[in-house]
Amino acid sequence: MIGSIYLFGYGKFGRAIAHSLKEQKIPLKIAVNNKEELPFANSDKVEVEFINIESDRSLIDLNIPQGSTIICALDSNHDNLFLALALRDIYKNNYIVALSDSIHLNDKLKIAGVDRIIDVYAISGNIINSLLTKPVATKFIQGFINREHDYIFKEIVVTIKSKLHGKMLNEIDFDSYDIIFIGMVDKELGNNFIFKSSGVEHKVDSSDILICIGKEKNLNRFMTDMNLE
Amino acid sequence: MNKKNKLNPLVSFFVFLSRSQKYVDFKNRVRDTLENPNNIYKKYIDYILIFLILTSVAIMIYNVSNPIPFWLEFYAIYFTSFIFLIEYLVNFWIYTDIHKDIKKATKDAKIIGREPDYKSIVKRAIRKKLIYIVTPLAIIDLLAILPAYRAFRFLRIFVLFRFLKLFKHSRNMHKFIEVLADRKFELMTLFALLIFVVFIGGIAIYILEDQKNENIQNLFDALYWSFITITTVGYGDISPVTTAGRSVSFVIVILGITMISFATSVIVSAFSEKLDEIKEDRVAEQIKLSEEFLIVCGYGQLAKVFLNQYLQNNKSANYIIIDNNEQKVEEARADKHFAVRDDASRYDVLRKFYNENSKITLLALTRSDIENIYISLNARVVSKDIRVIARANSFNVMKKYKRAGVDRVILPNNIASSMLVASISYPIAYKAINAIMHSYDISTIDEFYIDNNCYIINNSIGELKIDEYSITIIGVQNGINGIFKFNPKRDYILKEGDIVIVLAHRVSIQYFKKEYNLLGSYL
Repeated sequence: MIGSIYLFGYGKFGRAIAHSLKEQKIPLKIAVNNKEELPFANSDKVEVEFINIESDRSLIDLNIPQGSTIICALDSNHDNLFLALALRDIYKNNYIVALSDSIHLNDKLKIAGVDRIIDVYAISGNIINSLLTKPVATKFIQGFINREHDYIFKEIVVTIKSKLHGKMLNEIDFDSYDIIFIGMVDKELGNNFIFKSSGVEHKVDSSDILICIGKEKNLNRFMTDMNLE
Repeated sequence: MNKKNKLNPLVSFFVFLSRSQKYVDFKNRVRDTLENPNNIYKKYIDYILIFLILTSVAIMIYNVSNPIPFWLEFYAIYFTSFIFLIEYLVNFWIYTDIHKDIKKATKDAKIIGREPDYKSIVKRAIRKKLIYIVTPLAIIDLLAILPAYRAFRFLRIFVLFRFLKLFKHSRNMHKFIEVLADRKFELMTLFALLIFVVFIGGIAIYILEDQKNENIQNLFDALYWSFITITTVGYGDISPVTTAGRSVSFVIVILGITMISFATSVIVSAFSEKLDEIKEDRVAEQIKLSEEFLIVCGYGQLAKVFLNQYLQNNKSANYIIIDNNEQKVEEARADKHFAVRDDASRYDVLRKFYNENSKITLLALTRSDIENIYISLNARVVSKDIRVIARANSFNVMKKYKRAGVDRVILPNNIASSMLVASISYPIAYKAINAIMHSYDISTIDEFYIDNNCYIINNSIGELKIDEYSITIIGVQNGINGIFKFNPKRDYILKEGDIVIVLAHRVSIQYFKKEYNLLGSYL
């Protein structure tokens, strides 16, 4: 479950991010440091707070609660790096995600303490590469990310009350629900994601996370039948 | 058609030909084969003719002082001459199109409501065709055939004309002539100056040394001396003997050195200017011979990242980068890519790389939407078969890209934003997507194309060793209607044209592909 999100920037990246998050009804607060972005926010009827990223006071006053995710998506690379560094210093335990459009900036963001870096060109380059080598598969996968088709990736957290608890993977019938099991996080073994194709048989226990794909209604039916929330 | 306009048989024949579509198509095919550098057969025809030229010339040179068997003489003289005669006649035939003139005249005559005067049209057209005979290349071709005629056999010098025929079939020679032609003005000026100085020097020495120099008997001797001196060759068979004559030598030698230096610098600078172009043309010619290749327009951050990833798994991939920014081209070359400095929005630039027998993908990756749309439309004009993937820089222009016929539009800002949101909303699913999309060591997503050569055509999924290879079939795109079937059941029959999406370990996929002789779906 995600907490609230603090998005910095409402320019070429921030606007698209805010749009996606709003579509998913994720609670969102937006701060900008560039007055030129304010008219976009007004036209989209989005509430934004104007801040001075050079002032720690201004960032502290935002009072971002622990557990909230911070997204640094300012249009200027220099501002974004400075903001990430300042926020890391103030909000030590928050998860910070930053956008980057250069390999060199990635390294600087890492040093600044960002938890996840989304490299705009690396992702786009990957997608062009995949489009050339596996176009149909890429279109299908992109459909998940852009929510362009009926199929979704679902993270299913196994509870102690569920029928999955204590079962071996090969005992679970995914086929009759028309869903595909992709892999899981076996908490007994750590937090690593293990693909089905690794070939190892796993025992499913509470707190394990199964990743399946299928139509939402089929996934929900499966969860209901397995006593999962 | 009234009696007055009754056509003679030759004119009737041309009129008949002008109305035959089969004839027109055939002639166009022959012309394309002989003249279009992109035609795959042209290369082979050139090789055969070069082989005939070289072998026949070698045999004829050997024959100057050695006897050769009859069959070798037959080959070098009659057989090769016969082939060259056919080539000469075919070139004569395709030089102009009489049928086109007749068609045009018929159309024009219809407009003014009169009968076309076929006789004079054909006469004019034949006259146009006859011009071919006096073109330099046609003269060389004709002279190369002459050794076959017994009366000319004694003129062994004709063997040289066969050698000159190589000009026609060698691209390097063409380039050399093109470079010289580019400096025609400078070289002609120099040549005129040379003739002028040779004459002045020759006449001067003739006047000054006549009767005094026993080697100068006439004006030709004087001109010969002048030419040999000015070119700095100086055989020494004729040399001035008077002080005045020697003084003329000073001037002639100085002028000669100056002119030779000037001519050399003109030719060298022409070559150095053309060198990049020659290299680029060579790259274009080589790349378009490949079955499939990429044209990357714009060498920015996105192109860099893409090529880096693409070449990791496709080391032998054929591609070319086109950028009109010199600095970017230098950068690409420094990164060991094939890059040319040119404007991809120009028709002739993309046309240069087009080959109808190749599968071409064009990536329009510049930072400007206007440029990318222009390049995409340009690719569409060159051929509808070129697959176009373009980078959009703003969401508002997406529709314009679609209208321009772009097959896929990549909007980096939106892709990154969607990925960022996915990484927050579904962190574990995002990890999985990221891993399978980017082929990290564990699992990857891939796809197979079901074609006639694979061993699983018309088999059901249940018949495949998917469990043995730990392969998960995610779905199948139907080859006929393009409908995607998610999670197909084991009784699903795989047909030709279907594309199967699978998820498995990279190694499993490799072995699975090998076992069933499967291909990827595109490049």
